[in-house]
Amino acid sequence: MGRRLASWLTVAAVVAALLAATNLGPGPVSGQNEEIFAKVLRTHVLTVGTISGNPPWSITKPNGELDGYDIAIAKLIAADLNAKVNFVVTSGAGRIPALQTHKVDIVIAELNYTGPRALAVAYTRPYSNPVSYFLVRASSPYRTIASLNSAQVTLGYALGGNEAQIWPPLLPNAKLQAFTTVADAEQALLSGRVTATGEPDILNRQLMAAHPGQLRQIEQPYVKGYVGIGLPYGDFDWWLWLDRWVAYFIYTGQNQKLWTQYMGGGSALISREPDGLRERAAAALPWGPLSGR
Amino acid sequence: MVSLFDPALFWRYRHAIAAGAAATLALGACSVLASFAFGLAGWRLKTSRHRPFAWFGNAYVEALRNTPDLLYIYGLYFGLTGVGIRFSAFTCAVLALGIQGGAYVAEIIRGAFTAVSNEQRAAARALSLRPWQSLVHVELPQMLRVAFPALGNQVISTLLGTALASVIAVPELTYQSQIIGDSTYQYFSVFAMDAVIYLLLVQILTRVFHLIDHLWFGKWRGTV
Repeated sequence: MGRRLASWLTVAAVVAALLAATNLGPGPVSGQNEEIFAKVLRTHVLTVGTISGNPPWSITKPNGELDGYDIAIAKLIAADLNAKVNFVVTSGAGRIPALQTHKVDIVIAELNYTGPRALAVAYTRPYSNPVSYFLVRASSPYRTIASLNSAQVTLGYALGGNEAQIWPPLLPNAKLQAFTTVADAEQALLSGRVTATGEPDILNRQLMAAHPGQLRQIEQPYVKGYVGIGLPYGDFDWWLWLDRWVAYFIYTGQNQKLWTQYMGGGSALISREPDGLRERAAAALPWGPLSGR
Repeated sequence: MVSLFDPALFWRYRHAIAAGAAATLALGACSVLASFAFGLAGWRLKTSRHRPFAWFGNAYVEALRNTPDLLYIYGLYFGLTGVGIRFSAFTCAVLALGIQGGAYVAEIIRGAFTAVSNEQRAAARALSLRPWQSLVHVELPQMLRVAFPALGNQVISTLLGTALASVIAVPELTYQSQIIGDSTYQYFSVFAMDAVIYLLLVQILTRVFHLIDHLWFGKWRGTV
């Protein structure tokens, strides 16, 4: 009887510890760390959350170093802060928790603005607008976005993206299947496990080049991204400095220069919507002024 | 603003969480059965008098015990389609966990049989029992008594291993939690709930094993 009681007490203690570790207080994350800016200036270390394996935004080179458009931006920010940059590589889904728990000072990892996401973390103004397209197998009969709206269609996506919020209103009849990483979703497409995936055209083009003749992009964009730098809520000075930094980064042309260097052309920021995108976005996005809801 | 812990989340997503827990149990049960089947086959091969079979059994046990489950999950799910074989994600997970768990089960069975002394077999022969009678009436009861706690641990390990199936989109508990976390940014809430559910499932299993052990083997504990 004593042993049984002891084991149940142990279980109860573990449960209590787990719940305590998750911060039972229902208060917002805001206010927990109000001096990120001061800390970075004092320690001369900027901790940046990023994801690897997301070319050309961020990749790991054979020598283990990170490289890419986002990585180059992080290094520029650190240089302007007179700080050493410390990269923390996480998964797509790990970006928001890393900010929520203050494991990183900022996230520069193709972090698109979405309404629900903006309730969890703060953003700077966007520094790029990647346009996303569906990618199908070359032999697939699907040629338009509308044709994907079928119960026979399974759309694969990586956790941590905004697809789970965008796709259901856009293609209500299609099934969704989530994978842990972008690479897994791509593998699922290549192996015929899913009908389509959706990524920015730059990544799609790279994938098509890597698998010649196997993949095809549906030439209708379904969303224009608003990629900004993510940061925890609660430090207004930090947000203000970063937002102004992004504004100046765009104004001086440095942004476009880096974009051209890593993406091979095109514009980092698109002022005009691709044809039909605004209408599709208005119908699909479950938030924001475009949706009218 | 989104808080780190939202108790209301569990009620809102109770159906998804319950479905995930049910899928975890189903996947765990199927994987355990598969691991027992593979384990018995592995043990028979490993202890075979025919050298090629024994070599194959050894190779199976060593190769599978020294490589991670995830490799087999990915290999079966993505790799088999390359050769025209297409199992569902659930079947791939059952096979992967079963094949890997089987290697451990084979070793547990082998170890337990080793614990049955040769005098027991000699005594059975002296009583004119046939080999199968010796196995069923003398060796198996003693072997099971030794193997049971380790097999219980293996069952729990397999059940917890089902979380890996989330990488190929099997809608078990971890997958459902990831989906909920992804759409609500309440990762801590859902993973805390996850931990509690896994803990409860394992505690229930542990109690069942203790009960079976007490009822079936209790009076003989310590005799082998």
